[in-house]
Amino acid sequence: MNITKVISILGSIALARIFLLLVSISLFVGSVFYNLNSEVFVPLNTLSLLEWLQTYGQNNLAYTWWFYLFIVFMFLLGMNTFFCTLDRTWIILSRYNKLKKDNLVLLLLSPHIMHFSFIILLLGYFMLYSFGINSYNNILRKDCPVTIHETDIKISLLKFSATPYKSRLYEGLNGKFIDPRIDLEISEGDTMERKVFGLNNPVYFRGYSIHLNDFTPKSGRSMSREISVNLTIRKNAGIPLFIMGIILFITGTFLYIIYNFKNTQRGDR
Amino acid sequence: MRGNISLLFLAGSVICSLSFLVSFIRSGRVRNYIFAGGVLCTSVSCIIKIILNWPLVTLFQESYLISAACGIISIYMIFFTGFERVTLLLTGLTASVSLFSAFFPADIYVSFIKTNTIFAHIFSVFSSGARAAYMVSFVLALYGVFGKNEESFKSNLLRFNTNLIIAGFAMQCIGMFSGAMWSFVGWGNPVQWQSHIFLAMAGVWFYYSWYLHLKIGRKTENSKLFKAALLGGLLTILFTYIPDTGKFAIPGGM
Repeated sequence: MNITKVISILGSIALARIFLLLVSISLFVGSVFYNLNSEVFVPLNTLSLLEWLQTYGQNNLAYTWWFYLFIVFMFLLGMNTFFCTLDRTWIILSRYNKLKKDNLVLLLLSPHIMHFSFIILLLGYFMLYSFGINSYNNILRKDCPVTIHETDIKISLLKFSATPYKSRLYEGLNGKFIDPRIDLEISEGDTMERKVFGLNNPVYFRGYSIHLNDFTPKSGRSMSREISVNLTIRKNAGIPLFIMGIILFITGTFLYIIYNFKNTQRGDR
Repeated sequence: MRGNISLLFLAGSVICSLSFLVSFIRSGRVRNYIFAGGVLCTSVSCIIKIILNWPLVTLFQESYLISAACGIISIYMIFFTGFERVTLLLTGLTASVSLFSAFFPADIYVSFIKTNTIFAHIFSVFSSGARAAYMVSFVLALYGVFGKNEESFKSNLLRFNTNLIIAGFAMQCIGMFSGAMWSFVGWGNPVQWQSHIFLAMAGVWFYYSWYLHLKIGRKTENSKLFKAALLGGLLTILFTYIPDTGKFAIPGGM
């Protein structure tokens, strides 16, 4: 059997259908087990995949067995997608000149753009859960800067400002700060940068992303007037990969919709 | 104000149910316009809630959005395509989903401030639109599997159904990726293990990926595709719609 034949079998649609269905079933089963004991899964927000598998995963197999199967199925699906994309993209590109005349190259490639970005997304998730620096609950106060672990990067709080919110729907939200503006000074050696950040508005420095997790005072009426900011600090190569995968996948999806629309117009099923 | 919004939604649900009942007596324009009026009420109620709570997202508003989106898709099918025959099922679906959402509300919690981002809004609206598309595809598949119709009608219905699923899939992609972006900017992690619905939504996404791969195979029979869409819709309702509703309550605190 030659290599082309092997790639063709490994990347076959029949295998893709089997793996997609298995992944889907494992996720539905997972949602049931998550509902039965969510406390086992919540630590996945902070632990790495390997740490979680060795601790919570192993100690609660009655609830987590599906997750191990899910990982295996996802790996198989990822491999199948890789070979499928390799095989079909090669076929399309080898007919490039003929397809170019009908403006079909990009449209025919659209499912494979989605496949390719799916692989990038999988890699992104894998890196996100396996490597990188994740530091939680870094409390920053005016007189108490935060230093990122094993670096000289120092984060200082300069200013906190916020306008009380007036809700038209929930009285309980009146007076709360929903959009605080926090001025930071981030320094490393002689380099110093001033940055503004807030909720859902992280700052980036030397590959680190710094997120606002929580803050006080929460409202203008707060008893505590001391300004305190809780930071989540992350550095992970999976994040740019993940974002790239998202952009590519959406592009592929829209190209596929156009392709399908053109097909429908031609009267194909 | 929240009570009035709930009452407007309830009024819309009741009008949709009325149009469903009218279908048994007479079909045609009158029934269609009553239905459109009901969908207008449910949709306006959702829009008012979004505007009044802006820039925050109302928690668990998805069941209302799904009802309104089911109605909008149904109106498109009734008024702009030649699928008059499925109107009874479409009005029935919209009426039952709207009534269920009205009497089993989950939006009793105050919005939390991290919903203050456009990503949260896109996530909420698009993931609801996707679920609505899958639920409408469920009733179309129901008709395709059990209805006694000529083959050409079934082929047209299947083509429309597949396009609806593709549209739902695209909306789900946008919703899911927006959710991931929200999770990243808010918590520093593109995945939040907070609710079992997120796993079920991923399950639905992979299920419809399977459906689309099934569709690629030219040998797949129409009846098999209808059955697959039927099962997909059922899974969507059981795993992603019902868990987004709450306990029984009288709308508007009547």
